[in-house]
Amino acid sequence: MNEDLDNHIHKLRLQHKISQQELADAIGVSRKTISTVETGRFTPSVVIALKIAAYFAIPVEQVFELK
Amino acid sequence: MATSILVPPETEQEYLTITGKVSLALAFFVLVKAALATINNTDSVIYWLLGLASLASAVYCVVLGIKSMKFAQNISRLGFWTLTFDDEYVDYVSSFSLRITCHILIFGTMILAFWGDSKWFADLMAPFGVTHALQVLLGVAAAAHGTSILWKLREEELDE
Repeated sequence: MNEDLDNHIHKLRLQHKISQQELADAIGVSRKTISTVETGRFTPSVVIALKIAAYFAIPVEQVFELK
Repeated sequence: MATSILVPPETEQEYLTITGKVSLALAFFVLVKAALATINNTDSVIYWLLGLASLASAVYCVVLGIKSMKFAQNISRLGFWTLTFDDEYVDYVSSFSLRITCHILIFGTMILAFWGDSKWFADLMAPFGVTHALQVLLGVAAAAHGTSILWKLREEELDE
């Protein structure tokens, strides 16, 4: 669990009405990667962070932020 | 990162899950084999039950090993043998489990390397010998490897 990092993936998914599996398929990772990033148990690489931000068409700072 | 063709992340996850099960089956086999060595009465029911369990775990290990061979075509040779994956979380779980296993093996072999022949160690391990101590160490390391993989890749409720 990363205590310093917060993310808004769950909120963004609900807004866009997509499942973890759909997001995972869209950016080419496993659903487990998305679920663990979303719950803060796994900190992704910059590449995945940028891919998620690009998918939602927003800056990466609006997906991830320091607490 | 593994130098592979594009492999579906679920395929990598499935392969690592099988690897975890192989490790657990191997741990069970080795630990039961060490336990069998402590039983003097080879006609006892416990001895036969443990022998049967040992055989079953060996067969399960071979079956899973054969099952894992199908992934050799899909995962790069480097990834297949070194447990290196393209999917970040699967690769993290693989590295995490190998790190735990490595620490257990180093700690255990250091004890055996420095005190394996000492009298106090032999008294402590009795009726085991150094060979059985090594089997227990291997079993514990394999159990830690398999458990950590299966725990981190466990199925959870979909949070949609």
